[in-house]
Amino acid sequence: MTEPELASEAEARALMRLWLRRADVWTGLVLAIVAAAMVAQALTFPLEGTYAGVKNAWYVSPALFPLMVGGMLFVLSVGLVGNGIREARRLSPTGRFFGGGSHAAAGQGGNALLVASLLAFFIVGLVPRVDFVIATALYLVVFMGVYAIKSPVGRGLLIACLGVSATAVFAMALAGAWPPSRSPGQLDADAVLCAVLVLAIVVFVGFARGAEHKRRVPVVASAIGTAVILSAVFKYGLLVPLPREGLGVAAMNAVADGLAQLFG
Amino acid sequence: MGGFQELAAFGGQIVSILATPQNWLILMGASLLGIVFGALPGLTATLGVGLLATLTYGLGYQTALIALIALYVGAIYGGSYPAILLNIPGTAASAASAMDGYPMAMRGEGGKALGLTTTASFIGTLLGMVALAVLSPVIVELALGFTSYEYFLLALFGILISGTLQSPDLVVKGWIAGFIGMALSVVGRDPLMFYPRYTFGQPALDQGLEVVPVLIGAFAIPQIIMTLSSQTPLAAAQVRDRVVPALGTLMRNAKHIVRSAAIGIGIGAVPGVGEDIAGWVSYGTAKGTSRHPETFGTGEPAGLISAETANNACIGGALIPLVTLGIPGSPPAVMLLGALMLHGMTPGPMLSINNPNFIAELAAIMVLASAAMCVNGLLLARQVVKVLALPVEIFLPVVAVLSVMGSYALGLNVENLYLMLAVGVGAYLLTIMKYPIAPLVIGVILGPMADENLRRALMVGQGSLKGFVERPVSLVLIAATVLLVVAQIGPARRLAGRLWPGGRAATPTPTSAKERP
Repeated sequence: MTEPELASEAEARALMRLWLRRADVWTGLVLAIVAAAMVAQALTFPLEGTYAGVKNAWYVSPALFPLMVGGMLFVLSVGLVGNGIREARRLSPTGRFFGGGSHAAAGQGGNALLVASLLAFFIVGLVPRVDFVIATALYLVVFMGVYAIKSPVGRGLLIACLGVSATAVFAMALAGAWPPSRSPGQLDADAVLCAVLVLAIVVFVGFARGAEHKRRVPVVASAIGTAVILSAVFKYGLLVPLPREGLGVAAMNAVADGLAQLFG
Repeated sequence: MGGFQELAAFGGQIVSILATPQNWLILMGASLLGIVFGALPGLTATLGVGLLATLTYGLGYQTALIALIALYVGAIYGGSYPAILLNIPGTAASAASAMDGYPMAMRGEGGKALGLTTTASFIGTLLGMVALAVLSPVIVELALGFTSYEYFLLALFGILISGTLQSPDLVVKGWIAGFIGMALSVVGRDPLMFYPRYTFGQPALDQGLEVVPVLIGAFAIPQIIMTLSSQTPLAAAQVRDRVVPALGTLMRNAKHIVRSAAIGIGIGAVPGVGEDIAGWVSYGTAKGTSRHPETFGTGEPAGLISAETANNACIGGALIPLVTLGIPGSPPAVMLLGALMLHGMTPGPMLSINNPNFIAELAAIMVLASAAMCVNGLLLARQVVKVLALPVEIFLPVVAVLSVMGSYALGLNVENLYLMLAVGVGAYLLTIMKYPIAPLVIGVILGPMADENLRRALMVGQGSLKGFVERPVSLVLIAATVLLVVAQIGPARRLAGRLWPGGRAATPTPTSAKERP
């Protein structure tokens, strides 16, 4: 490694340490507040307890352990804040807590937000309300597609397919307009989500460019295959009912019945 | 029970397991799955055990244990494939294997390196099993005399030492992670008075936080995000020469094997400290004691053998505190603990009392799992290498769906999915700010044990703390805890350095680079 490379690596390490110490201050503050709230809430629990013949004793209190844990968490968090301020001042080029340095670890933020949002759309919006096979296929096409293509428009449209449909489903459920499980309305709603799945596939295939063409079949086949196979393994193999069973599961049941008749 | 009877019980267990054809299939399948899981960068043994645990709900506990141990052993070994062939460790446990494995592959000895890895891992697992079989009954005997005093201190010590050794940045962050875990563990009705704590009137929180969604969220979601963030296109990996055991090389390195196994077992037995540290410490020791340390890092078989023997021997070591005290020795063992609890088993000294053949059964499963790993490794290495070409954007979303299904299948409860997501996002934020996750989950698991035993101990002493200092084991645990904490305080460390100047020289490991508060 050359001298300038070593210098820039040392500089990057120093910036990372500065970023970490500043982050310590903010996380320490948040944790100290949470710990203080934990202690405050614990003080509302009975401060004496009765158990197995021991009456009104402080050491049986359900507040004892939360008070200890909350108290220790508060002390450690405050220590972290103090250390963070002292070290950040020492490491900062300006010698002050604020100013100088940069966000060395900001690169992962976009991915974290994207993955967390996709999971939230899937878990909070779709899983409790839409047929699990369809919801999973839609989620997988979008998740795999977003990382398989580079076109910003294509990626945006894919995220919109999942985000808009999940938000709409959630909003309808909040308003009490979502159909109950195993009702004809459920099948209609599943059919609409099935159409969104087809739309997501069309978007993905349409925006795959150049070398991304090779990913079209593996992504679509893996997404749909995984949704069907995992659902079948859990439902028929492990006898675990899926969170919501509708159009997709009805289709799987029909295929299973057909196979059963075929092979006696 | 005499040694002969134990041996007979062990042999009986092997025969009984092998007498069921279904077990063969599960053993070989789970082992292969583990190797594939370990080989795929971004997927870890911990995650593999956690996800498979959810698929074993409907199976008997022995079948589930066969599947989980086979996957655990296979995954620790499988991580060495990309480490050797691509210089990208599949799991943190195999990071040290890349140091000499990759240079060997670069000079066309990829097959020999894989052969050495396979046999070293096999021997390491077997030696770990021997330690498990020999030491566990002794520790169980000792643990049967433990009372609430010892259990409270043991839980506290386990969380603190895991935080101390696992923290990639300041040690205090490891402790904070442990206390966050304990704070999460108090949600729900308290174990003595059934008073609802932090439930905010939500009946779903009355039973407390389910362990499995917490484990899956804490390990799977940060892993998915971080792997997608740093997705590296993997080169098409190839093995040109034959994958052979190279017994001559192993014989020449017998002393490295024995020493590495001892290091792996010892590190594995420390709560929460896993195979990654075992691999590095063993590698560092082998280099430090070698007559030719300059050859390490250039394709020295001794380096590869040391790292691989230690990380697999660590498995047996990690199971010792798990089965004897109920305290997991490594992050995958945390998952294994969750899986055992799902099957209605409570690890701890009573496990061997309620099921006298349990340790013999576990040892038998480990022998069979290591044999399955060896057979799969020697016969299927060339095929397994092909999975390295799988793009992360395809297999990671599938892992996300498996995590969702795994969290849901427990109790068929959608709230568990919300819990998994929240814990996962929180764990990711903590991870990027260099907080270790293992102490957090150990805190969640050991928190109730600490809570209940602290109050029971105080009840025995009628509020007096005297009982804590009147019992020898309790005193040892207090001394160890105090020493652990005091050792992290700057002035105390400097004083110790002045008193014992030689004690400051340490083996260079990733942990030695840590900053201390």
